[in-house]
Amino acid sequence: MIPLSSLLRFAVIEWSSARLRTVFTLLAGVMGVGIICAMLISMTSISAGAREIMTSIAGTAQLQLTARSADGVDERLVTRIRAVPGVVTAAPLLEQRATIRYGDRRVGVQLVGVTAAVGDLDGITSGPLLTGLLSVPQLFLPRAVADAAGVPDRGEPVVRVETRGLTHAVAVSDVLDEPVLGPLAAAHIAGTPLARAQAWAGLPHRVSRILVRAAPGQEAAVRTHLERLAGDALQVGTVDDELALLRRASAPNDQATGLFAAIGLLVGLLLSWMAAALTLPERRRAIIAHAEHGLPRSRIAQTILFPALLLGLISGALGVGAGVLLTHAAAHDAPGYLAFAWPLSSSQPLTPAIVAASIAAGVLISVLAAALPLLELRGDPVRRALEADHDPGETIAPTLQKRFSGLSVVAIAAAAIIAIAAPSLTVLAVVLLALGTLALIPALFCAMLAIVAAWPRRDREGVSLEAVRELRSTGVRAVALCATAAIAVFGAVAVDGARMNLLNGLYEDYEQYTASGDIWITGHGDDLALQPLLLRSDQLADLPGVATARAYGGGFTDIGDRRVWIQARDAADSPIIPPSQLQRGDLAHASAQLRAGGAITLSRQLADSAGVTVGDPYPLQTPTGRRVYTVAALTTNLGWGPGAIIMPRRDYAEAWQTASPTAIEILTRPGTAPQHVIAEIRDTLGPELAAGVRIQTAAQRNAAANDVARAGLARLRQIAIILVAGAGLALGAALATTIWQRRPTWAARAFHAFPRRLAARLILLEGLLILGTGCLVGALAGLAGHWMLGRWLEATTGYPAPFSIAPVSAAVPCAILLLIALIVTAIPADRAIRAPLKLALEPDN
Amino acid sequence: MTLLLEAVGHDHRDGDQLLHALNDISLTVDRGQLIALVGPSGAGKSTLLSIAAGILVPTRGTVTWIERDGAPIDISALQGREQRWWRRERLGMLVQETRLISGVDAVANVESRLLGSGIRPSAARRRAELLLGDVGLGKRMRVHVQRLSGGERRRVALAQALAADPVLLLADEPTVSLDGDAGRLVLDVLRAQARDHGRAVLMVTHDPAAAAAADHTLTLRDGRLQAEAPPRAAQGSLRS
Repeated sequence: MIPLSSLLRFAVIEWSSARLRTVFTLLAGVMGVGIICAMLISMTSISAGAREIMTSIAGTAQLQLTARSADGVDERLVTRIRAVPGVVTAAPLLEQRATIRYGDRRVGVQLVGVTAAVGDLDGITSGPLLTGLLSVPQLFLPRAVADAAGVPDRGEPVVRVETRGLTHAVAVSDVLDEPVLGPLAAAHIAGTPLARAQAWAGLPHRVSRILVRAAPGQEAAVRTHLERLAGDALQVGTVDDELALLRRASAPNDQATGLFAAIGLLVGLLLSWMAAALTLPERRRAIIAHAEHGLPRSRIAQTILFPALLLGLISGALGVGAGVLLTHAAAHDAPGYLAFAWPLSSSQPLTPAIVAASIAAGVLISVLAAALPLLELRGDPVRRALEADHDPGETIAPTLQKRFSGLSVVAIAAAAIIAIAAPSLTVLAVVLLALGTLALIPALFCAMLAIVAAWPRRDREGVSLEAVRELRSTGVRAVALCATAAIAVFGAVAVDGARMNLLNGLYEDYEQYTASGDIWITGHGDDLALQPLLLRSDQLADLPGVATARAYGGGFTDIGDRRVWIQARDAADSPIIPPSQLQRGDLAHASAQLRAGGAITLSRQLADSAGVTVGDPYPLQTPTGRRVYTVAALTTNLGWGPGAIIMPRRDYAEAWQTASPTAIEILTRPGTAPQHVIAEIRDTLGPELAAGVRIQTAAQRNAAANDVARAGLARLRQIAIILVAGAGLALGAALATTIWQRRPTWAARAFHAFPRRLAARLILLEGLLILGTGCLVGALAGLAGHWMLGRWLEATTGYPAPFSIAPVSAAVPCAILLLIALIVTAIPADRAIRAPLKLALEPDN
Repeated sequence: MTLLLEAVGHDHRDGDQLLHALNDISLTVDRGQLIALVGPSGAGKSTLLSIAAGILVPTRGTVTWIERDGAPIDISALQGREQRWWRRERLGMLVQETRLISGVDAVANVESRLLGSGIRPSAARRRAELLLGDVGLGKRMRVHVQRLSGGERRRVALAQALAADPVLLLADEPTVSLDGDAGRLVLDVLRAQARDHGRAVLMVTHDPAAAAAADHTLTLRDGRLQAEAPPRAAQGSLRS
């Protein structure tokens, strides 16, 4: 082993001798690690934030009983649970989705009603805070909610708490920060005494969840007792079950961000490789020189890899900082749709595991890029150098092209097989496709040069031939640049294409979902219409502008590890099943079955996991027991990841024992303006009731839902743009460096009266050939990746994502990348071709 | 300690044709001697130097290094670890193509050779400065190598070759493309290395002035050693 101090000195010499390469490697690493770190934070923030909230509320409870009905269960059940042998303590909660309104701003929160019993579980941060929470007549708000709603810190501002169609004016006692509230400061929740929450929700003496701590070793026995006690009205499980449900719901989002993390790693690696290629001949010579002096291979490897390792550590550390910035700039919010079912946090935890993984990625990027010249260590490099009739320089040997092409064919074939045979592994297939595309670049780039060289042309000045010659002589770095452009465009086109398909599918689904009414009345912030309202449809049926007013019901029910969305539709709804979402079954027949009752539709993933299909009986656990329905049709997941069920409202009301609608849908009389009917409805409800609900036209409801869908997928688009723009900047800088390095050549050309305009054309042509080939290959491969991801969305996740290609969306990343890279290159290139003539005479080391 | 080549021959193929690059070469280079190997281009000088270094294996004959205690080392049979030991501990090579690290000074270039052998940075720096002083670059050692003249860079490469204190120094065209003064400085260093430091020095050269500086000059023509000539006669051979 070479002593550490000597290795450090080696690193300093290495970095001093190749400052540009060092800076590039550093920047490449920072960019790659930044994307990886941001994606890791994004992937873990949803579950980590939810875990923090759940732990803060549930404390040391191991078990929980969850009401199957949105109206909860009688709170007196808690007393019976406490009497179960082995139960140490039990604490009731009432959790309701609510909005906090301050002025014109509304923030969705999970309203949590608690009692002092939570303190026995060390929950809701316990001790003085819980005492304060239970004794203060007003409301405490976490910092995240106050900031989002614009609630000031001082002066007891009054907010409105809106839930289940009711609204209450409440003074805010205090806004609590992280030192007091811990992780809950970043959570979108509002804690209040149970009785107050019950009053606000119009659910006196009802609770939605009961937390239980069992004595050590008695958990299983207690669970058995609780299951007996719970009957059908409650579901017994562990506290961690909530996280499993959330994980299932956020899985597609996690996989998409995971894919971007893999692409970020590839881009970082390519950029570092490109940086390493800037001094590849020098490194080869250094290795030969070391071998000439008899240095053992292990020591030569140390001299090459140690500086890379150190650089990787530095870029990893800086990349973590970049990742945190990127998280705040582009991926700061958890997808809003998940908040309909779980309390979410805006915290972005930078855990030691994320830091370690990010720095490891930085080291991997740097070391792998630097390791390429170590291939020289095969056999005797001194002898090989002696026998070679010329310096291998940076040309790409045809045998290497063939090998890479062979690898590419294998990788692309494997990707296609995986995508077709095992759609659930499509993310892996897309990564393989990316690798296959990379491996194909050397051959494609050389083929492109051959085409340009052979193309019949009117180029009398021979600029195109000169460009081809230059690019052939610097093949390695040109291919590295081309591959980087390709992979950045690939990622952007593939992921953004799939995102667009999904958005279009969601828009179409929602439009058909709301088409059964001209006007909808729902709770505030309740885009999925899940909360029961204290309204009846017949209150509005006689209004002059109303043709019909129908009740709609909806809610969640947990099936295995899926929190499934139930849409309970009136028999008169048309359409009762969104036609575009039908995957199996006959639309007319299925609609008729639903209208008749006793039948449901299932999203295909639910049916597959239960092993049922159209016509089969499907047992559904309800608050009134297990009921069996006939599967009328299979649908997509209707935009809700874990799956969805459409059932007749009559059956739902009977099984869930609820008469309260979660929305009212109104068809207006022909010729009546919707705004006029909305005004009639407001007048009828009166100011108090009208303030508690949202009355929208179907178009307005669609627009609001589409906003949520767009916001949920916005981070993918933002990351795609950052990826392409970052790659454009890095590629521009790398191109500029290679042009700058060739200043002696430009000076020599100028000495031989080569016109500057031709030099500029030469540079432009080289840049376009490199980046254009990369963009073209990346866009084509990206479209294939787009198809794979679209198929994965439909086949595996069940999302509605009809495949369609928008050539413009493939062209935009190419245009952004080309434009940025060429702008960055322009000034250094102009300076380079004006290099002083004396440079032409300087000796070359 | 002596380098001993006995009846060395080397063949190589050019298509279907077998070419005899070297035939029946025998020579010795002792410690303290500077031997010049002259001859026209294509005579096989560089091939012979590579065989002497153990980089190429001769087709015929033997290449032996006789240690101080008389133990012979068959250089052409060395492989792997032993070959690296030979290159590290005994051999110094000054090749035509200087492989200097640009962007750093002469000291860092010589240091980088020493650091690889496990020497601490401070010791490596001191030794590098000493070696650069020996080759006459005491005042230019802090200058970046790309700002040095061709002759100065050749001397930096020479300091690198001497970094491990080799007993056998092989130099391939040490004065090529250098002007008279620069070439003379390099030759002075080579001569001093042989005489003052007791190294065995074998150089291949086209340069009559270089040949004149040697203790003995050997002429190679068409792969055969013509004669061992005194320096003046060798100059005549080169001119012809």
